[in-house]
Amino acid sequence: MIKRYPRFIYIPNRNIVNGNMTIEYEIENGRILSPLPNYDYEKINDSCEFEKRNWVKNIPFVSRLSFVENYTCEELYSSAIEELLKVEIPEISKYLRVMMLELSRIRGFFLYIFNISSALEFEMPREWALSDINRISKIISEINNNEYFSPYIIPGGIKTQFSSTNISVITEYLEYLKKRMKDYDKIIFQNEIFRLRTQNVGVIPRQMIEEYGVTGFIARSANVTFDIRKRIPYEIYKSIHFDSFRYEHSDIYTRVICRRNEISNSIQILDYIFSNIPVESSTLNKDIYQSKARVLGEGTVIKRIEGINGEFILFLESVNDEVPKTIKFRSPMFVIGGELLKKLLENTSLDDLDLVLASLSLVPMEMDI
Amino acid sequence: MIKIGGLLESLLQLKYISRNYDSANKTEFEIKCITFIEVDVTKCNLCGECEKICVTNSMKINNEALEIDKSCILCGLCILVCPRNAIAMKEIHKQGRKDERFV
Amino acid sequence: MENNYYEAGFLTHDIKMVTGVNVKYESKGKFIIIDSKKESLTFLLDFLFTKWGFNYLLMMNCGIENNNYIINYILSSRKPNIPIIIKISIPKEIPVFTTMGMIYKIAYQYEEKIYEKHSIVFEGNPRTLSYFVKNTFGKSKEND
Repeated sequence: MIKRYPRFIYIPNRNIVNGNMTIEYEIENGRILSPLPNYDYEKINDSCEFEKRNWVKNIPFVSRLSFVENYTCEELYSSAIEELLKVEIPEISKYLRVMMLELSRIRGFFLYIFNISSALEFEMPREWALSDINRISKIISEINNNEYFSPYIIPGGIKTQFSSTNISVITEYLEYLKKRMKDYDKIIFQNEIFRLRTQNVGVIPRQMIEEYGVTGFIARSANVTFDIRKRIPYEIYKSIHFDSFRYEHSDIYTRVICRRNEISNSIQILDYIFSNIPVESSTLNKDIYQSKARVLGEGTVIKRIEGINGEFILFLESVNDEVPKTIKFRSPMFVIGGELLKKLLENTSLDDLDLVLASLSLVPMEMDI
Repeated sequence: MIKIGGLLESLLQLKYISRNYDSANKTEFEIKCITFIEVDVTKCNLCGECEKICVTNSMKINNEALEIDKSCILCGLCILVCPRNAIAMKEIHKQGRKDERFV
Repeated sequence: MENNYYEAGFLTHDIKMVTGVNVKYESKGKFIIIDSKKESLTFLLDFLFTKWGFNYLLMMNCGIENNNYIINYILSSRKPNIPIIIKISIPKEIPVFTTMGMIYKIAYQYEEKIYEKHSIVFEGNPRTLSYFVKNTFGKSKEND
């Protein structure tokens, strides 16, 4: 006999963080003086306290830490737990994890283009970016069994099965994407107005990047080559080759061009995955969830991953228990949104404020994870 | 009839929605897909692992039967933890809308 | 300044020889854990920054253990590719310590977060003033 529960249920809990971000500033002669960003947020119901729960119970909360980078948080947590439990995952799930990370990177790129084109008041690419976000979100949710906020990458492998229809959908999308990027090139990236409005605006000097430890595309646009996928490769990144580009100094123009060039890297990685993916039936090592096998070993783990906007870090300590002793995430927004933002916005003109904020791709909910 | 479309719809992926009838503002939402949890009673031996692991405390064993509340968020941890694979998650799709277009 | 010693063995030997008896170390394959005393932390961080090129402060974390606050400093560099964790213990009765903001500028922000959560005062960091001192600074309302 089979029973079914529940029939109509409420929308699932999405966000743990709730609040507003404000910037207060004074104006003189059209220039901004003494900006003060304020991340006035509040956490609901102590749900962020990872150190009070079982490591299995923490899994749905980890995937709700960030709206944009949910798969990077899941990947960090899963790989750390697997290292402490000393288990191996099936080979196919490594390929699928990298596939999901790259697809979310493409989604993050279109969100970035949406913000930039609305700051520039380019109406047409804004609508295009919106439809591209919809398109890729549909693909991601189809792979994830139509559950957007359910965790996909979990300790032990991947939660859902992977079918061959998904491969055909993604390969079709990649061919569409290559043509679509040429349209974007004509309308934004080779546009004279875009170049005139963004060159030598919002410059971040190289010394500031090295002092504060900025990572990601902002560092690469200032010629500080730092890509964790190449330096400390994880999953299958060791065997994949993708290009790296060189730029002169970091203004808004080079940051946008840097992100556009890295889409070609993502397409290369996805092509490699679909030509070399092994054929296996099971994507999950389910034995670690049985109650006897759940005890974490003693040790500390530091995990670093190249997220969409920069470097994501996890620090995890455990002492022979199911409940971990310390868990601490750190997002790249912590570095960008603090003192660096104040120094950048100092003395910019009011006309350029939108552009500078959009080019940094701020995600305020990640400030204090 | 209010339809939530565009960016919100794709980002939230609203599949199952409750019917909230306010006496002042009667709002109706459109249901696209329903997901539910299926329990095979012949395999379930009431060991209680799912009850311990449930994040929202919505699984309860009452009178030698397993019951699930409305507060379930469909995270799927009970499926992983069950030693006898008695729990599964399934869905019913509504037909796609015809006026869906991409720019 | 480039160094040719990529292995952890040279690093731990160097730390032990230069900083002396007050520093304990454990090398665990992937990273190095150092239990250091409060007084020698500025010297140790300066040494790692200038000689070995650990110019990137990944994270600062604070936990509670046995009536003490334990602060972890996690550092990394490009060469060698090994992170270092430095642990400092502060008694709960006197939660005062010094900033490391003159070596790592991002430390000011981490210390502010720790101050908000555990109210540990970092001397030298203007955002972590003690409550008593904070309320006496500022404009006086007597002249209005």
